[in-house]
Amino acid sequence: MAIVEISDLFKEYQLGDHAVQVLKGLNIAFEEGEYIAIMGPSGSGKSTLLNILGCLDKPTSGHYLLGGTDVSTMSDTELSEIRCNQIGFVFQSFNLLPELSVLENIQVPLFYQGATQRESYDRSSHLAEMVGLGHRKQHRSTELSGGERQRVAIARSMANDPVIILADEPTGNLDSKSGTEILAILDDLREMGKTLIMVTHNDEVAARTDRTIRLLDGKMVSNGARKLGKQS
Amino acid sequence: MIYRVNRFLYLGFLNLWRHRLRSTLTVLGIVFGVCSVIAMLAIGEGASYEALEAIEKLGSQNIIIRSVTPPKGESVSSEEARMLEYGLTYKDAKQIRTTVPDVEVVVPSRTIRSNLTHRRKRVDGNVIGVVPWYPLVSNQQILEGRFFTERETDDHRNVCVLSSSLAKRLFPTKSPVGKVVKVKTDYYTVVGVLEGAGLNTNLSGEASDLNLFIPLTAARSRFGDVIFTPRSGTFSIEKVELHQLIVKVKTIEAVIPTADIITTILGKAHKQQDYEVIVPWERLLTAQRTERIFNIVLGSIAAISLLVGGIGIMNIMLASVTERTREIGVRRALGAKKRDIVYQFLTETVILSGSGGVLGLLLGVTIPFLITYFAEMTTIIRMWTLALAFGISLITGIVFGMYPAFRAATMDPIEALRHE
Repeated sequence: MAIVEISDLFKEYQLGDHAVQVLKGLNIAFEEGEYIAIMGPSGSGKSTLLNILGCLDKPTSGHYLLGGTDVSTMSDTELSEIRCNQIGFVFQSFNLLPELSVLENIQVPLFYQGATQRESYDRSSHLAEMVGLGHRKQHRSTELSGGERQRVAIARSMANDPVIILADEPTGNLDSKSGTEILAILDDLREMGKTLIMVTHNDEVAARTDRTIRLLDGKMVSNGARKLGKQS
Repeated sequence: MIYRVNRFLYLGFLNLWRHRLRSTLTVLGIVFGVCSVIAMLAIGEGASYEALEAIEKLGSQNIIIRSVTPPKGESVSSEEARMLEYGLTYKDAKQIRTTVPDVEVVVPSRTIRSNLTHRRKRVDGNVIGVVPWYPLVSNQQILEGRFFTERETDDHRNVCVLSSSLAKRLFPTKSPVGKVVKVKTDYYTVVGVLEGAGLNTNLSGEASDLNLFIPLTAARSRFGDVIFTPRSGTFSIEKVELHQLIVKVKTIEAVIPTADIITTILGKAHKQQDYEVIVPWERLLTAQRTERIFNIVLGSIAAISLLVGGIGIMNIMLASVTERTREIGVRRALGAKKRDIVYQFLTETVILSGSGGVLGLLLGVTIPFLITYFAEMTTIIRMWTLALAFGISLITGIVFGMYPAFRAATMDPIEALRHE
């Protein structure tokens, strides 16, 4: 069964007295463990799609099944629960909390999950080591380089052991060296069996994924050829 | 649960510490609010306490009738002072005792200013002729010895009881009981010492507390009813039978009606207004009313300053929410419910107002102490005012923190994440 299943998904925004349709009937399904790139020019609706996939926004019509559960009609609190337990976010601009240390940043999702102090410490240390920041656990995020910050962000997205990880141009704000390091870590996550959905403008980056979905004007123009033998 | 609370507190402190100056200034608003609530109530309480204490000393079940010099009708014709006859009489005392219902006892007294001497010690004080049951009405403790008896009164015996300050002046080192005090040409044997000065204390405060109590009968036979007072170049002669009548009423409820009856009786018996009726209970009620108004006024001023403090908190929290829009977006994306955001911001306001409350409490306790020390004003800090001021500061924090917290929680997470 698909981990993410989107059917007839529409999203429109009310701008003044006329509605603007951003997503015009999308039908997509992702399998568990897939690594997907979403591409498209600005205004094509990829950010909106990512927000809906991340349960930050709700579709105007259509259905979104996450792990078999329809989340398209859930309340704000229920969506918070879903984000809390099943989704990991990696942002282009890292979005770490500057007053907190590396460990504390990784612990933020765990706190909202209601983890104990012990669990929270163990898990965040483990994740910090996993992304290669074992030696900088107590540093403030403002003392880190861009690449290091994004590594913290990836560790944070893994903290709640999510079903899907959503990355919004994770290398967009990084130099090519740091970008390559980040992509390598994402490859590792994929190896670990995580489902990764990444928005990107970069064809090279997209080339590392299993398939690329192309959006144009709120519609899917390419479902993406499966490069790996996962044809069903 | 405890970990969660601690975590919210930790985050709150972290953020407030990051904006130390701003947090301190905000807290000051609450500090001064709480401090003024406590200090003002302490001053109010102290002021009214002094007044109430003075009145209560007179006895709430007592009615005090005092002889006063009547307003001069016509100017004195001759240079030589004419004898002025006025005031309460033995007849008045008897009439009140026998005709007014609800009267428990009547204590008549006479006061003569005189030199009091023991050996070479000489004190200018009052000789007060009273009846043996006087201490019951004045609520004074007998510190040493005893009060004089009815028998001694009947016999016009030369015995006396000293007020404690007189005892201290005449007998600084030894017990006065058994010693003698000379008044004019007569010697009086001391039988006891009374605590305090007694009920002859004038409400205007001019009375001395150096009092020598002797039996009324003795006072009458030794001094007569006529009093000579030397004046510059001349002297005045006054004939006053009794200077004061203390009427003790059986119940508090009967005090005011009894006072009315006494006023009527005296009004008929006296041609001129040569007496005044003082009802401590009535004055007490008036003083209590005044106290209440005083407290309400002070309390409102203090409450307004707390309100201003609260508005300060709200102002700062609104600024903080706007500044931290991005953080709110991140936290929402990472799984924070609206409730979690509300808690986070409310924790901060409660920390601000709570620490303001504690500091205000300390300052509020110190200020009345300093006022008492430097201005010699009585101040009284009641426990309930501390609880009230601290409670109000916390409530102010919650109430004024509510709106910013809800504003933070209801932000659209997507908009918040986009915020620069």
